[in-house]
Amino acid sequence: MIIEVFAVRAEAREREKLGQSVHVAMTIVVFIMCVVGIVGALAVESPSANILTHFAGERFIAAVSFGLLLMITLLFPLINFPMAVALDSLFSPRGAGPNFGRRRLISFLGLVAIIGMDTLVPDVDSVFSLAGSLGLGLMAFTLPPAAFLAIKDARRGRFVVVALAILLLLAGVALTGGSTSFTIYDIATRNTTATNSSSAVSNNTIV
Amino acid sequence: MGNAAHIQFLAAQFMSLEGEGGGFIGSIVGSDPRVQQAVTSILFGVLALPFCFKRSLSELRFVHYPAVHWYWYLIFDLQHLTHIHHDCVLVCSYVSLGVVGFSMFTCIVIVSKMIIDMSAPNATIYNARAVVPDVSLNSYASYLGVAAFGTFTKNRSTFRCTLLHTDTCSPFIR
Repeated sequence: MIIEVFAVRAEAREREKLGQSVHVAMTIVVFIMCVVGIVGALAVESPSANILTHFAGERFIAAVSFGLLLMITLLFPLINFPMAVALDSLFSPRGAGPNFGRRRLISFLGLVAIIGMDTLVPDVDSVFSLAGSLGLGLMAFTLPPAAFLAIKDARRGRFVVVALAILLLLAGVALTGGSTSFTIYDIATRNTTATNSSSAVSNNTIV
Repeated sequence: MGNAAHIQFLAAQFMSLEGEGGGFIGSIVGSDPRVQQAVTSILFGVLALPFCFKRSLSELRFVHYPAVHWYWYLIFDLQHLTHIHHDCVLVCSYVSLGVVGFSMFTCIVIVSKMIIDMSAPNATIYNARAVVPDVSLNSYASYLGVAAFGTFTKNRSTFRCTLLHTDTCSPFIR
């Protein structure tokens, strides 16, 4: 969402209203998450990462879930757009305009990479954990202070802000590195356990 | 990574809707869940790919317009509530509102269902003791991430919420 905000802002007609919209959106999202989380924890004995999986066999909820799937599928181009734009800018020469052929190629290769990633890590909550720890840790805590510190004019004469930015950068790097390592370790451990248990099952079958 | 999580969620949820047999995906590719998941990811990715080739976000307006409107009339008149016009940036807000709106609708359905289940005779309230403040800094850091960006990073399987005090839940404990 953070990354999308920049892409939306680039095409905004009234950019000053964007901050307010983001605050409202975040309030709604946090409220929804809290309500569903709390009620889900109270209603289900062992809630999984996706609460919808606890309603298998409920036809109305299945229909609503299918509608949600359609909505989220149509949202994918929106979250793909900032990635294509960012990578296109990265490969463009300084001052060059957008290369739409390259953006299409990036979108296609991005999809191939996503499918590869999803096949390697088939567990949905592991992928969400990785996205949260690596992607959001970088975007929310590491890149903003790093960008601020890289701009000489911005940091001139603002010692306190610079000190805070350095502190935030260090905390961001620690948070990103720590939580990503924890998540990768968690995935690796889970895969190893799954492999061991499946080979134990096959050995028992042979015996 | 966010894009991978997005497609992964779609594939996992679709497979869950297909049931244990795997539905038509299972009929085509067999019973291996990894293969089913990969094929479902390809299916949803390819469905969305043509829309990824648009030159600007505003071009996506025509893609999302019907999807947003079908529930728009179903639930409430969003345009009058939010004074949204078909301006470029608000197209994206519109789409996000569409998804958020439908998500809200889904959440209302799910939460209502769970509350109805909980209020049934002899129903059990689970995990009431788990919905308590967790004082470790590590947990607060991860929930700060949840609060800010809406993503679970840790404790994702327990849905613990650090915002509630035990006393708030005690009336519900049976």
